[in-house]
Amino acid sequence: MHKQAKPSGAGQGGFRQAQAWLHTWSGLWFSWLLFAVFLTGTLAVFEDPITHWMTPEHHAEEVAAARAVGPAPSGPTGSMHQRLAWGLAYMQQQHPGASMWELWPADAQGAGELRVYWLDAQGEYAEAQLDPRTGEALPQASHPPLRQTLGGHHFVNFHYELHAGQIGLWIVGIAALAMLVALVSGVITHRRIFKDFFTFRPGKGQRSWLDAHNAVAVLTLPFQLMIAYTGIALSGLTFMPAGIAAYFGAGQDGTRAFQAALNEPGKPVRSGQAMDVPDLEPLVLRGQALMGQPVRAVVIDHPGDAAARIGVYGWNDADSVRQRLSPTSGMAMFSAATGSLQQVRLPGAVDGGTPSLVQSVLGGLHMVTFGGLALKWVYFVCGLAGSAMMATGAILFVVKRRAKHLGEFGSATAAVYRLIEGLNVAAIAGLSLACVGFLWGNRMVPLGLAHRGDWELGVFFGIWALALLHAWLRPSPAAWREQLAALALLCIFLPLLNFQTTGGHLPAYILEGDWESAAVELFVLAAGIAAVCVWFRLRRAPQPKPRRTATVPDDGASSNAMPSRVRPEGGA
Amino acid sequence: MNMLQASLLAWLLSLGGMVALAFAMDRHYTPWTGRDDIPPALRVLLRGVGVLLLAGVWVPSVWGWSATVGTVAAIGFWSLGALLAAGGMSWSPRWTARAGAVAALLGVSGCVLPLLLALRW
Repeated sequence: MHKQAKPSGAGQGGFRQAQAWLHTWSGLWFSWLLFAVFLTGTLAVFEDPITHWMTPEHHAEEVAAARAVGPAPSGPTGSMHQRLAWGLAYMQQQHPGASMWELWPADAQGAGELRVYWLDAQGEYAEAQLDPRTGEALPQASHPPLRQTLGGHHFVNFHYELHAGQIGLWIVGIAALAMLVALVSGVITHRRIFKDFFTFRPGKGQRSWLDAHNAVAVLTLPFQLMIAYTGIALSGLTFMPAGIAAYFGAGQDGTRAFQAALNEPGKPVRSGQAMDVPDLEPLVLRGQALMGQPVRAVVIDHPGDAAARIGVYGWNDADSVRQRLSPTSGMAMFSAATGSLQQVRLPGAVDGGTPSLVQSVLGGLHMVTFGGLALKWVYFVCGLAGSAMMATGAILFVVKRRAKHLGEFGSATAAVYRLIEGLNVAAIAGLSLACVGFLWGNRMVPLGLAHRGDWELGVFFGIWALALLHAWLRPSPAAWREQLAALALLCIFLPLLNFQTTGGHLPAYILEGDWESAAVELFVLAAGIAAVCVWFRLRRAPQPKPRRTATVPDDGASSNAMPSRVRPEGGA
Repeated sequence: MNMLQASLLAWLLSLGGMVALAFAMDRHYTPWTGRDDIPPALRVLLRGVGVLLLAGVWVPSVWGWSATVGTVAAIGFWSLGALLAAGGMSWSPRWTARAGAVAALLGVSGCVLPLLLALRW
């Protein structure tokens, strides 16, 4: 008779069983973190609309400015020739000693704002805006924005470094590697990958969870592999520092030297001989012809020195951004003294050879810099599927062991299961709660508070910590129900809170054509309705039977308190 | 072809293709028709149509974006079509079959009609 292999222990059983062991444990221990990374990363796809919703004063100003000025500017703005001359004159008068000047003369149509940037004495980037009609400097906004906020960037930062800098980057990198391990071992473990390809059988307890876990993972597998791999590759130089250390030296200095060699090849050294910056227009015209793009920025290294160098950078138009995987724009570099061309880069090309181009494309693939709104939505849906993959996997682990105690942790098994159940609630429902709580924080934290953005972040982490505490204090079915109820309430009442605090509301957004704000609220509402549906199912579901250590025949009946369908993703 | 049209066509073709592939399997054929085994000829037909439709997703994708971005988009739309097909079949095989057929028809005509018009003129 075939002896049944024990389900735990990597060395036991055949190859497939070893892979199953690897999948279970590498998946489980990282699933909570990966769910958080995936859900926030998915929201990060729409960083800009979220920031837009979170800065209502700013878009009120935008609307007011557009109304005040009207479609036509109140007076003719300067030509490219004038704009360049004004920018140069301002820099020569105000910041003659800066080591770098950067002029943004106009938009792609030769109109719009005129901005100048420079590196100040501390080596920091500074900026000023000039009037495009007169060339006069516009008064600086002296006060910081009233509703200081991290905006949608919170989700971007959290999903790759957890707001913890380098340490966070390493933690997320290791989790991403674990995800690749779980994906590959999961495919090997999945015996009926083709037979079950389109299969989802709802209402069948554990089987439904397995079906859901398999379906969302297998059907979006190319995306999941790509996003984990490119995520690691984006920070590859941090994770694999040996190359830079060998050629440029270890530590911060080495990294800086590498960045300089990569981004500023052939940057001249200051000669000490004074020389005025030449007329920029002829160089700009030549640059535009060489790269085939209108000028976006003119960068002058060592202005006022004979060794100065002038770079002309182009605007990417909407079509080329849509159609190119590599997001770079064109560039032409000239010597200020002789006007000779030193370097030219065509739009989409990358300095530094094929490896740099590969890096740029992998980065573009991860951050979906191409393809416009349609591709962003494709990424968003696939990202939600990825989050559902983590969530269903973690829940499946518990559901499987509800009926059948597997005793992996000896006498501590029951306690560890309890820990895992609590972590599931806090990681899945709790994080979703924290995400929408972050949006509540944006409307509730008093305006003008010092470090207001940090307070909003405090709301996010505070709610998450409370959810964790709650998940451990309450029995797990009750914890699920209560956190989902809280999620539903926060989601459904967010538009009301918004109306109460800013006066903005969904019908107005739609009438004004403000689809970014409207879409944020519609998605939050949809998440709220989904949370209500899951909550109802949980209330109706029978209470779990007490767990027995002996093997219980799996009768296929729903013996768990979880809903049998895929839990739709909550969160903002 | 603008992005919205391209996305819509790619998504329709992908849904049609994935539904065809699904119903070529015994497990999904039975709930659809009530019969036990799929006739071999029908299986081959459904598989062939499914593969062609899925390959066809590439056409509007490359039209709407470019060869590189379009390829990424096509893989993404395969996933969206497959998720919808799997979800639909767990809900109602009959309606999923109808929706798949309509999607395939609309998707193919949306790609072919502009070509025919272009050839005529």
